[in-house]
Parts: sequence; structure tokens; C-alpha cells
Amino acid sequence: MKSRRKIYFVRQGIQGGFALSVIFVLLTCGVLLAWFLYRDLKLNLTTCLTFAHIKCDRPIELVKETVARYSLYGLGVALFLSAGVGYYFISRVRKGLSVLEEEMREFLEKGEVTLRPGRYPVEIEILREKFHRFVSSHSDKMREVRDLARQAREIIEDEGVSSGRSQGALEKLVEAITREGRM
Amino acid sequence: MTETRSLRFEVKILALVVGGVFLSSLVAGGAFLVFFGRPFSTSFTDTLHTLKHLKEFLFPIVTFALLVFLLVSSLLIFLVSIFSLHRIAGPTVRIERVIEGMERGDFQESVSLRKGDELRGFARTLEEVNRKAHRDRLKLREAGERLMREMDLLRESPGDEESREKLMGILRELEEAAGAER
Repeated sequence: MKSRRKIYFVRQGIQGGFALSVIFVLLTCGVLLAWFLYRDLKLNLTTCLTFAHIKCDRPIELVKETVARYSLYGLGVALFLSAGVGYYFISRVRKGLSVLEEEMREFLEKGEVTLRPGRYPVEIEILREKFHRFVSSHSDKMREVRDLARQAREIIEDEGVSSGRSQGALEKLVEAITREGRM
Repeated sequence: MTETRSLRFEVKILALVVGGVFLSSLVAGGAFLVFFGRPFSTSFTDTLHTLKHLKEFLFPIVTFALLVFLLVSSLLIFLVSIFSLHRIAGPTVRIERVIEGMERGDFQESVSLRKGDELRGFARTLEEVNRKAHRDRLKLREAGERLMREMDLLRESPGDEESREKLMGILRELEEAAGAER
């Protein structure tokens, strides 16, 4: 038996979107941090090199405090923001799926779905759209069958079963029942 | 709260993101150390030269450290995103397949989840929806087949009162079956 290769990157919108939003935050934080660090290091090194170069063997001794301070602040901000953005992104996916699940439960209870407002990641929106399309076609089919059955019954009660109209109504009903797939 | 929510999953992903960022900053810090750890020339001329060309000395170091940080963190975040979020993304692909099947009138597809996949509650609800829609269609189809049989019988003997009553019963049944939907 052939073993299927497992594909991991299946949802560009969800997986790629998450990665891109976190990377964007890190990029912004990184560039800002680098800029401030560069500015302070320049100042720091200028002062230190001018007044204390003889006492220092290596530049790390001159810049370690500045680098440590910026690393601490920068890391803190980057961690906080990237975790926040990541959590927000996953929450939106979860929320979209929760809303879709609520709609499914509504369909199970009432046979119809009330559209809930809200914008979610594209792929979740596509799932919702497909589900709504299914519910709509299913409900349309049920409604059509119910209406045609009632119509046929009323015609048969009025004109008897052998009339042309009764036969026509019954054939239309059978056709609606046996039709499969998208309406 | 539905079963779709599982805080453990979120915490795990965020822990991986935090770990990735932390690791990247360690690597970037290491790059800094490599450059700033090199011995300084203590001669006055060299110091003057460094002071004069401080921008050329400092800019590549900061840029290199930033690039190292961004490259490592992007790679780690991308890996976390692909492998960990696959537990949500994978099931959504299978869920989509089932919904597409339902749209086509094919109710045989089922959401098969792998070990460790998320969205189990969601998949169960979808299975219920699939079964209900299938039941509804089967009910209609069965009634339709009985309807056709009675129609054939009535064509052969139009005055048959029993067949007429049966036909009316099936029509009422169909109305109810399709009406119970609402």
C-alpha cells in the first residue's frame, strides 16, 4: 500500500497569516529597537572612546549596559506583542469556528440558520459561506417538496387523481424529490 | 463555551512563539558579543579612527544582529505556525470536504481527525448535521418511491379508492417530513 505524504502547510490564510502577523510585529519591534540601540551605542561609544579608551580592552565593556538594557526592554516588548498578536489571531479563527458551530446547532434545532455578523479569517469565511449555501439549498428543496405536495393534494381533492393537472402536479413533485445535488 | 475552545492549545502555541523569540534574541545577542568582544586597539590613532568612522563600525554590527534576530525568529515562528497550527488547519480542510459533499448531496464523507487534532466538538456537530440532512433526504426519497408506486397503480386502475387514499397519505407525510424542517 502506498503511504501518503503528510502535508503540513494546508491553510495559507490560517498558518501563513499567523506566521506573517507575528513576524511583522517582530520586524517592527526589531527595527525600532535596533534604531534606538544604534543611536545610544553611538553616543555611548563616542563618550567612552573619547574619555576612557585607554582603560578598555574590548568594546563590549563599554556597551554592555546599554545592550543589556535594550535587550531586556526589547525582548519584553517583542515577547508581549508577538504573544498578543498570536493569541488574537488564533482567537479570531476560534471565534469564527465557534460561530459556525452555533449556526450548525441552530440548523439542527430549527432547520434554518440566522446569519451572524462578524468578520473572520478568509478561510473560515469560506467555510461559513459553503455551509450557508448548503443550508439554503437544503431548505429550498424541503420547501419546494412541501409546497408541491400540498399543491398536488389540493388538486387531487378538487379534481380527482386522474385529471391532467393532478398528474402534472404529481410528476413535478416526483421530479423535485429525485433531483439531487445543488439546487 | 463550546468545545472548539481549548486554552491548552493556545498556551502551547504562545509558549512556542515566546520560546522562539527568546532563542532568536539569544542568537542575536551572541552575534553582538562576537563583534563587540573583539579586542580594542588602545592606540590613540586607532581610537581616533574608530571615532571618526563610528557609523561604519557600528551600523553593520547592529544591522547584522537585527538580521540574525529576524531570520532566526521568522524561521522559528514559521515552523511553529506550520506544525502546530496544522492541528486546527488540517481539520478545517476535512470539514470543508464534508460540507462540499453535503452540497453535492453526498452524505458519505466523514470528518476523520488525526491524533492530537483540535476541533473535535466541532467535527461531532458537523457529523450530526450531516446525519440529519441525510435522514431528511432519505425520508423524502422513500416517500417519493412509494408515491411513484401508488401513481403507477392508479394509472392501471384509476377508480381504486384505496390507492387514492394511500397517495393522499403519502402526500401528507411528505408535507410533514419537509415541513418538520422549518
